[in-house]
Amino acid sequence: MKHTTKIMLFTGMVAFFVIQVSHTIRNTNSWPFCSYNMFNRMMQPKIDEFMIWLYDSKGNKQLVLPGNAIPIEYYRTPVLMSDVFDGNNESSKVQLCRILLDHLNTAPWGKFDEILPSARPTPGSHFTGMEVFIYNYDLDLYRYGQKLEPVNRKLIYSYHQQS
Amino acid sequence: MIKKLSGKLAYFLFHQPAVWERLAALRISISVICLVLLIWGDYDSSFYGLTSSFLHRQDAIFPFLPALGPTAFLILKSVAIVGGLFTLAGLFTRVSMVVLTVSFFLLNGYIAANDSYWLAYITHLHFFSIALSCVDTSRHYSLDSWMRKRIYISDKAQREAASFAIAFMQIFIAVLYLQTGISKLLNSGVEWFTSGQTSYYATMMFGTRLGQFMTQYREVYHVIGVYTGIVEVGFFFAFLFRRTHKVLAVLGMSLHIGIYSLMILSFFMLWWIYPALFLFKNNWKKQAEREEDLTVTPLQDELPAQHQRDIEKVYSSFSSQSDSDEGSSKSPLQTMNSRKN
Repeated sequence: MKHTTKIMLFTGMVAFFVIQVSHTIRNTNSWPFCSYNMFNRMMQPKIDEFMIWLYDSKGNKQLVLPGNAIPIEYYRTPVLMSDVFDGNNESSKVQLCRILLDHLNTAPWGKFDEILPSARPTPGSHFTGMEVFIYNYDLDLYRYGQKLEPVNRKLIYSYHQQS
Repeated sequence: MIKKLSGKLAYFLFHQPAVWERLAALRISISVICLVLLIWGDYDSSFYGLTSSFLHRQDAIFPFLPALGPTAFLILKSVAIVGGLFTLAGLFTRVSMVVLTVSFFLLNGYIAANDSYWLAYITHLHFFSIALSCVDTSRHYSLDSWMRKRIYISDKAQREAASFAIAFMQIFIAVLYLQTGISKLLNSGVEWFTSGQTSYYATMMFGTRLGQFMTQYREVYHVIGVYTGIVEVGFFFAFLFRRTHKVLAVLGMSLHIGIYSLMILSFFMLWWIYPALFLFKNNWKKQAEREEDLTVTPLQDELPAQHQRDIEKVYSSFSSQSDSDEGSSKSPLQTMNSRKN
């Protein structure tokens, strides 16, 4: 390999890593360049979480994390939920709820790495509706072995299929 | 001093040991990771196909790629899987590696257009597969090499390009850890590491059973935070010394396995590469013994004993050595002897 080729390769590599690190300094991602800024904020005990109540045809309901209702990695679900349910596009909200309920009923999925397992309806039933909430938690109230209750909650969206 | 450092850098970049075996091992590692992600990971054709009409932003990354329905998404995913299987087996490797690289890149870029956070932490797979596409990864552990039974003639330029690909990937990992450390320092300060607060609270919400059990012992998370800081910030600086690479790989793997036991974060797509990248046949001493290029600088104790006596003479000879030395087929010992004579 010629000396100039080596110099060019080295220069290109340095430029590449300068671009990568500049994303870290600017705390932003522009795919495929990545800042690797995950978990870089000090997590505070008071947090807001999207939570979903799922209703089935036997009249039962269960509270699940969005990751149990959306077949994507759990850490991405807040972005998706926020994109759809914080917006004003009613059609998107209805479509997403319908797609998710249909997916939960017809193609449940298992756990893999950061993908949580899908919620399952009561045996012999199927999911018919969902309500999206923002739950406010105070993690300082968490005690191992006990269910962590929310400090507050707010209904964001409600969708129930017509029977 | 600068000449010595640049010599060491050139040696690291262009004279990696056992390049063909290690590239083959990297090809296998990368294709296994891609296949695991594609088959069991976050590529639900039905979900992405049905939601594309309102979630997909065509202008975000690939304007030429329209919203894909379930079938089109499945086809793209299938192409990537087939490319991954062929790459893993080492069949038509040069072509299949490119197919895997391009299809996996398109697939992830397409999904990344849904939200900016999409699989940001797996983008190294794209850069690594691009690097592997530029070199021959089929010379070992492949059906191609088994069927052709080809004898490869040693080509210095090809070997140096192969070495550069491996060195690039190693540096990428070191810089990656530095980026994670810098990001935490810039946004939260040293307290992120000393308090262990983020992993403590995150484990409460998304921890494994073991992790949630361990939240009863707050001090455990202080230790985790400090250990994270040592690995993330220290990795890059320790990486500057070749002797530490194997230890660093083990430390990095232990960090990820430890986090996985407490939280639902395996980062397997990262540390599954480490055995092939840092541990497998990464023997610099052996490399120095068969080194052919005197314009580079092995570490002192990586040289055979008879070479060490002459190392200072070799350094002094670099300054007068021109590019015309390239392609020399003389061994270090032959060259030294000819200079002595």
